[in-house]
This record gives sequence, structure tokens and C-alpha cells, in this order.
Amino acid sequence: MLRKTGPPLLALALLFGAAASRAAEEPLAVGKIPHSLELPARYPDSWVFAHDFNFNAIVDGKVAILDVAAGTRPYKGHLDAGQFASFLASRRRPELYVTQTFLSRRTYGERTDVLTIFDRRTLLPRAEIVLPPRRMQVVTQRNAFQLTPDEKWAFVMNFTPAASVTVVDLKARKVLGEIPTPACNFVFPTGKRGFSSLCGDGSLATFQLGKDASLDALQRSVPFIDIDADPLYVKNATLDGITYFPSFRGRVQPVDFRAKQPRLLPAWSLLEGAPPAERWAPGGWQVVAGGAGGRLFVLMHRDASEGSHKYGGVEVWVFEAKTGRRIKRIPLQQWSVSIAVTKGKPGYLVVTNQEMELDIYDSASGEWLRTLHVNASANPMVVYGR
Amino acid sequence: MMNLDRFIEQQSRRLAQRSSRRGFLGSLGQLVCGAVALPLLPVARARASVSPAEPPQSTGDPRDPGDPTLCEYWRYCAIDGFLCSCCGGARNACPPGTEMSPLTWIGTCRNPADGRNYVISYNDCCGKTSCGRCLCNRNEGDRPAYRAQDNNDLNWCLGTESSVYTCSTAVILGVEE
Repeated sequence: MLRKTGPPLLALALLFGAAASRAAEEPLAVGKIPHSLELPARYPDSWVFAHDFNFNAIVDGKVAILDVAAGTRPYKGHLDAGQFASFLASRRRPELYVTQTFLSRRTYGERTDVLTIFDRRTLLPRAEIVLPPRRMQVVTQRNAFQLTPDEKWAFVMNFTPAASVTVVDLKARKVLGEIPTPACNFVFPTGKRGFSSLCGDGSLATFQLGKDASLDALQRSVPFIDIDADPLYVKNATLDGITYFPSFRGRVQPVDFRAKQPRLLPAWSLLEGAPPAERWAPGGWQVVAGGAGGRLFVLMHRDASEGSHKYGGVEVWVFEAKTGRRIKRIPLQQWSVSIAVTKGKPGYLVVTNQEMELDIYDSASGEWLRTLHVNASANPMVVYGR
Repeated sequence: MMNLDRFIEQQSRRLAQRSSRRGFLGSLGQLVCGAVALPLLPVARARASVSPAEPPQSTGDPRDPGDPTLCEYWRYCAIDGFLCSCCGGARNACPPGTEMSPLTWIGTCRNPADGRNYVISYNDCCGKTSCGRCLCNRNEGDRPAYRAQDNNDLNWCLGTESSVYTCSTAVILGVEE
């Protein structure tokens, strides 16, 4: 094996020889059975939850946990989240929440809707709250399931198509009640103990609840969305307490949901300085994300037209949310459909590309760092980064 | 229901890897040559999502032109999901063993044969797992789900025995006045 002899190589050969003979003396240790790994109770800032909707078998979706900073072993595990599930990670408790639907014979039989509480460490279901069997089933939308700011309650959107919201006490692990929200859908937590919904006439309805989760007050805004001409996406990003909704044609409507009554702030345009002839607009599924330093990220495409609002995009535009000033344009490696930004400074920009893999970029420089594979049939429509 | 046509391209590519590379590139060529690239994208993909070996289908009625297994078929202007025409059903009928949802979203599509605008009901078929063939997503007139009747992201398997989505149809409700 040695082509040349000499002192260094000879020493190396002796070393290997010694290692080989030690290996012969000490066989590998016997494995431990059973043996399952656990995760830490607090995840590093670079870990994300990739919600795999799984179009080809919607009854069997999942939420995969990945470390987007890791060059090796990025996949940490997954939770089951089937049949148009919704997902949320608690910020206060080591818990993860999934609302999902089961049929007793998988595709037929009795329907049971549940809010499943998973343990962050073991990823095992720790508790389950049975819900009224009418939760909204929709391609992954964050605002179909939300928590109050103190995380005592959860709001679950229902759609039969009659609209209502189930109020759940997460500590007592029980359903408190159900609030009808006629012709209004989705939940935007408002104040300490209320929520708002977007309505079919372009207005916002706000429901303030009492301590027993009964309806205290209902107020409706004047219609402010022209749903035919330029509707707001349901998708939004919240930065420093203000929630930013992009519109199909490139406006941004900021709304402050912190007080009992939501406050509409002046809208601004994503397209300041963009040549009108290029017809840029937001496009994709989760088209918007918020990052450290009050930065708003929007997935953009050119040559927009009626019906192109879900087609994805080739660039991410970065704005200073407070002023609406564009800071940067990040050209993407390939056509993409959803974006997220992780915690941390500056945080990673996580982009679901057209191959349904995750492209990871530095969110400040826009530099592409790596691509992560979720699984062979994954549709990570929404990634939860913050 | 269903959304996000980019997924179709992923499926197309996977199929292309398993089948004729030239056939796939042919579709891509159509796509790239389109004058307005974006709205045509799903059109090219749908052909790739059925086997290139399958001959085209026809409605058999010259007043109802096109191939109902293709995303470009005129009635599919606001459809989102697997085409029942590829799943054992038809453009206006559910596959065996599935139930048509009585509730749905509505689109308005122009029939190129007579130039009329028809009101189309995109009834979902429900009760078996996702078909997985001919995914098609077109969003002309699609609006966010807070105006539910114009939204194709919702699972419209409502009012059916099972809420499990299988595929989507496109049924004529009438001519728009």
C-alpha cells in the first residue's frame, strides 16, 4: 500500500496499525432497543416548521421540523397534520398545536375534529381537545387557527359554509363556545380577548368576548376592500404589532389589531419606482413574511394579470415596513411559491420553490446558501419561521 | 379547491423523468413560446400530467370544444384540483364511488365555440382519497376565501357524506345574461 517509505509515512502506518489492532480488541457496543431520540424543549432560531399539505393524499399531511442552518442532518422529525390541518407553535409553553380532521374509516365514516397538543421534546400527542366537527378545510392558511396574545385561548375557524369560530381554553383543555361570524371568515386576534374576521362585502367584523367566551360586542368597519378590483390576500405578516396585508395588485394595507377595535393605517404601494410596463405584483401562496428590523418580504412576479395571484414569483422584494421604502430585491434561484423568514438577526429567508423543496437564503444579503429536501411528495405550502 | 399550480410543474417534471424527455420538452416549448407566459403555464403542464401515451379525449360535441383531460379546456378557467375527467369520472360527473358536493364555487368561462359566457359550477367529488392525476389550477376570477363563493382553495366537500376530496368537475349552470 505504501508507495514510498519515509519517516512520516512509516509513523502513519504504525498509527493505523495500532488503531486496527485496538478495533479488533474492542467490538462495537451493543445497541440499545428501544431507542427514540428527543428534541430540546427550546428550538434554536434556525429551526422551522414546514407544513406539508400533501396534495396527493390530503388525509395524510404532516409538519416537518428542519434546521435551515444545518449543512448535515437538517431533518429533525415530524408531526402528523392531516386533512387540511392547521398548525401553531406556542411561544410560552413547550407545546405544538394541530387542528385536524379524522374520519373513522380514513376516507369515510364518522368525522371527528380535534385540536391535538404535541410535546415539543417527544413530538408525541400529549392531549387532545375534541372540536365541533366543522373546522374550515382549506389549503394551509395561518389565520384559520390562531391564539389570543396570552395564549390562554385558541380560535378555530369553522366553515360549513356557515361561518363561525370555536373558542378553546388551552389550559383547561376544553371548548368554551362558538361564535357565529356570518359571511366573515378567518381569525385575526384583536385586543386581549377578541378577534376580527374579513367579510364578503370587504369589511372587517370584530368580535369582543367576555371572560366566559360569550359575545360582548360586535362591530363592523365600513367596507374598505374592493374584492373585485384589488382584494387583500388573507396572508399577512405582523411586525412590531402591525399586521401588513398585501393586495393582489401590489398595495399594502397595515392594520393594528392590538386594541379592542382594529385601526386601519394608511395603505402604501409595493410598486414605488417599479416600471408600470413590467406589471409587477405579489404572487404565490404564502406571499409575505416579516423579518428582524421591521423588514417586510414579498414574493413578486412580473407581467401580472387577472388570475396570476397564486402563480408564484422569481424575486423577493424587501421593504422597511414602517415607511414602505424598498430596501432590496432578491432574485431567486428558481420560480417559487411561498416564503418565510426565521427568527434571529438577520434570519434566514426560506423559500418553497417550484420543485417543492426549500431554498435557504441569507435574508440580509440575499445570498443563496443551500437547498433542503422535505420529502418525496411534500407540498410545504407554508413554513413557520417565527 | 386546491391551489398552487407550481406543484403541477413538479409533477410534470417527475413524470418527465419517468417517461419521454422529448414529450416533456415539447410541452415546455409551448409554455416558453406563449405570448403571455404566466397565464399559459398551467395549460402546458396539464398535458404533461397525464401520460403522453394517452390519446386526447373529446366531449363528442362540437359545441363543447376541447379535451376535458387538459387544463386548457374552456370550462376550467377557475378550477383548482384534480380533473375528474382523468380520475374515472367526467367533466360533469364524479368517478364511481364518490359523491358530488351540492355546494361549490362558481366561475364564468367563455366557450370559444359560441362566444357565450357560461356560469360554471366546480363541484368537488368526495369520499375517496385524492385522485392525484391531472392537477389543474387556474384562477380567473378567483378571490380570497372571505368571499367564499368565488374561492377555489376551500375544500368544497361540504354537505356530503365524507369531507375527503377526490377530484373536481365543471358543470354548466347556465349562460350568463
